[in-house]
Amino acid sequence: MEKENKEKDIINDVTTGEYRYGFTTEIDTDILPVGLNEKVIEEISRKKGEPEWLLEFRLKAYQYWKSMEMPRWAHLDIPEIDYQAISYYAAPKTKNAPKSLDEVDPEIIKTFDKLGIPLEERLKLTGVAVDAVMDSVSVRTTYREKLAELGVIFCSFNEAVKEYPDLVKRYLGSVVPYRDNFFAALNSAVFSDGSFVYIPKGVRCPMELSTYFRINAMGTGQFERTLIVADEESYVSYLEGCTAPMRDENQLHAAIVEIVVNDRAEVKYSTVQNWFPGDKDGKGGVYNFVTKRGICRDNAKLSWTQVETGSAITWKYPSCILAGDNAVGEFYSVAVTNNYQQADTGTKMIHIGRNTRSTVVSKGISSGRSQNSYRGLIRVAPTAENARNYTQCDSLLLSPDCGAHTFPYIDIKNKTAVVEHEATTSKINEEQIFYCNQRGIPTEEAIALIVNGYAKEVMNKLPMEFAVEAQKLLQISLEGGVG
Amino acid sequence: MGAEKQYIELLSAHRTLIDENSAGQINAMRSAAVETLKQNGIPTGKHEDYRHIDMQSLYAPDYGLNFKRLGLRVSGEMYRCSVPGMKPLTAYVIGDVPSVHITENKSGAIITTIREACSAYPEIISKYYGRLSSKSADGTVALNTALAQDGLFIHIPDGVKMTMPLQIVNIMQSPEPLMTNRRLLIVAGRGAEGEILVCDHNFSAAGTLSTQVTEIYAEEGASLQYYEVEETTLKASRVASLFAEQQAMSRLLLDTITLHNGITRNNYDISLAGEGAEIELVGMGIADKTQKIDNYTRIRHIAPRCTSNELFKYILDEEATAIFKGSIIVENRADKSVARQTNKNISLSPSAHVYTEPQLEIYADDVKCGHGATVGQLDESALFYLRQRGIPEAEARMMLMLAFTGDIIEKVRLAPLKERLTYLIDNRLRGGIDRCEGCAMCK
Repeated sequence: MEKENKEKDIINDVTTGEYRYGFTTEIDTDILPVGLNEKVIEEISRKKGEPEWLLEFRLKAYQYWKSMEMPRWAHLDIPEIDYQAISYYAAPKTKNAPKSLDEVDPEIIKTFDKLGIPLEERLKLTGVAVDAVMDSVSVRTTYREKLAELGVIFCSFNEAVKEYPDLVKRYLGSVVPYRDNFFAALNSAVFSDGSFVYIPKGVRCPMELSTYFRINAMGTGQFERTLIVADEESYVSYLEGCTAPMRDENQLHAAIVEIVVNDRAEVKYSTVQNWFPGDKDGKGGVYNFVTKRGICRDNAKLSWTQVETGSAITWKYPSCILAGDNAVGEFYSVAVTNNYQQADTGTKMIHIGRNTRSTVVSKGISSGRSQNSYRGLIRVAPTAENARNYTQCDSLLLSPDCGAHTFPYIDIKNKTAVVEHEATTSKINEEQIFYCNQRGIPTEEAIALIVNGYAKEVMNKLPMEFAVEAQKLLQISLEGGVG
Repeated sequence: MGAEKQYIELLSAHRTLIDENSAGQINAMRSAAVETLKQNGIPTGKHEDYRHIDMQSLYAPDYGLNFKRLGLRVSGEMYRCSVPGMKPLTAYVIGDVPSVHITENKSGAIITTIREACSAYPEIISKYYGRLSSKSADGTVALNTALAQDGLFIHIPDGVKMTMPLQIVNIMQSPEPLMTNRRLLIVAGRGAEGEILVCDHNFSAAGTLSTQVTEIYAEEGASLQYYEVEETTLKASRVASLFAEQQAMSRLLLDTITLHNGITRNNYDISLAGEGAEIELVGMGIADKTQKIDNYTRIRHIAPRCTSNELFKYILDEEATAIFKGSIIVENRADKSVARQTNKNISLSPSAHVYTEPQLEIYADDVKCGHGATVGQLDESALFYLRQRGIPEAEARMMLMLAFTGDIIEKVRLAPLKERLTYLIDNRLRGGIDRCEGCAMCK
């Protein structure tokens, strides 16, 4: 009994571990007044010096958004969001874009230092090019020149609109149209900045491209937009990581990621998401409503890997449209929820082309009083001859008051399809903990060990640089996360 | 307002006639059911649980209803849907008019109509009738409660073990479009045991809609087997909801087999309310032409140490559609729950559709739950193996399909029924007969 209590204490200590990345950078920000209307959208567009067609796109999306209602189908308890109480634009106040590191606000550099983001010289050692987005405006992009030699375009979305308008115009909204869903429409209307990547034909991007997003200013929403185009026979690995400072107010984050994978190209998209999850009483935290989708042409491959530990509410379904023949889609996910966090996350695999294959591996870990749901769709269209899917989603329960749910949807309209779905939900194995204890490993470490082993299948899919950070995050998120 | 409108109007116009031809507790539930129906309506395609079958169009036609309870006299043997080797007690439901004339009931169970039971066993009826179904927000259940006038009542008193199985034969025979609303109330007392087989037949020339609400109450330690076999026609639609509440250590086997049908929607809502209760829920469907089979199951683990085991299998050909949605909910205090859910499908035709949604909602931490779903074809290498050994391809395919249905048949505990089902399934897969050969009507 005493041992049991002690175990609970440890778990409590670990699960109630405070958010380590909670600090605010004091820099001047240029914020638009709260509220959303056509004027605000025009103002955002004007501030960014955008062309007419983009403003039109935004306004169309806004008109459509006004006619929509917030989706309620997810297994989430979302408090009423007042979209008129949010400021839709916040930019660090810089008159000219910095040309060298010295021009970057030292406070920002410090923030990244605290997060351990390898900007500056460290980049060269780690070989990571970072397009750091802080409150919606791209602060600095590194390694641009080196990439430019190969014809790789890696810049902020804003720049891309100015410098490569044809490319942006051609692909913007081609995978996630503004009519797609409520949050996609909102993002299309007010998106502030983001990243743009173009890999030309036959180019294998020599380094991993990486963007870090942070929400910083109070009461501002983050609406970034990422567009990745991998042309024929190219390859790119893209990393996206998020940490947000501690805030009492809930913050809204509605992003869009669009990926176009042309014939025989391959894109690997990895995410570590660690937005502020709210404190241990469920106060504060980021609402993360993200639409991520990629389209694969013939023989193309798109692989999503995500480690989700943050956000008070997560609503996110990175998807693959396997439009071309022999296209391959993959989804590997670890979602950890603690305290009062809620997550409804999963994937959609839409098989349209012949011989398309998809693999889904989802590992949910819930502790505290959190609710963690997997929601996935496997659709095999009548045209998708010989489609193959394998789905595995496991849930691990670490405390008596948490919830783990699985909502898979399987729609098959072709007789040649072979689809397998397997899911399990169970408590952490007490025998394994006992075994570790016997060998002198304290319970807390044993749990970390077991959980890391449990998530290994997904962690292994992350690029090296990321896997280290992700493993640390998993440990922090679960510190005491077991009941 | 959608399809429910005509029924609400019908009810307010003919309420007296309906009530006069029914009895106490059945009438008492009517008004509340009408309110639920007004509030929720007949589900539309936008309803998360009814995405693939258009209920509105099922309920839209102008069906006739037998409010005056004009019964068709049945002479015992005529409709016997015989299972060789099984000597059951038989009760009939013609349309939605039940008729029980069992001359010698040695089984120990009380088998009668709900109308008669309202006066003979008022306290049991008022305790159980509509208790589970009235909690449902489903418009189709509310409509059944609002329109039902009678049904069958089976009560196995405490400690009684039925010595003979009971067979209920549902028969629809109508030259005009007809809607029937059947009720079935089964109460198994403490430690009671029983076996019930329900056969669904339809010889109607016109399109029919039969709705059925079944309530099963299994008290502590009760053990019940309930089999349903549906053999109807392409014009027949069926919307059935079964509610079961199980007390401690009770065991329930529910087996539903759809061999021929038009459109079938079966809802199963099981509450494991007492510690150590066990449910085995199995189902199978063989569908071709434009058949649609939709099984929706929800199992709630409310008490600790309960076990649920669910297995559904479909074989589909031509334009058939099969839907399986299963949800298992483990509530917070239901520790040591064990739940397993499996759905397997074989699709033989390019235009057959399979939708499967096996769902888990877990709110307790000390549980073992799993689900699996597969959609595929017959195993080519197994087929090759059989052909290598000189078995013709068609026969080899048949063997593999029979093997696929094997584990469903294995769940049947009544030996004669097991044999009969093997025969029926074999026949069905060979496309031999379109109906069973059991009763006089089919011959």
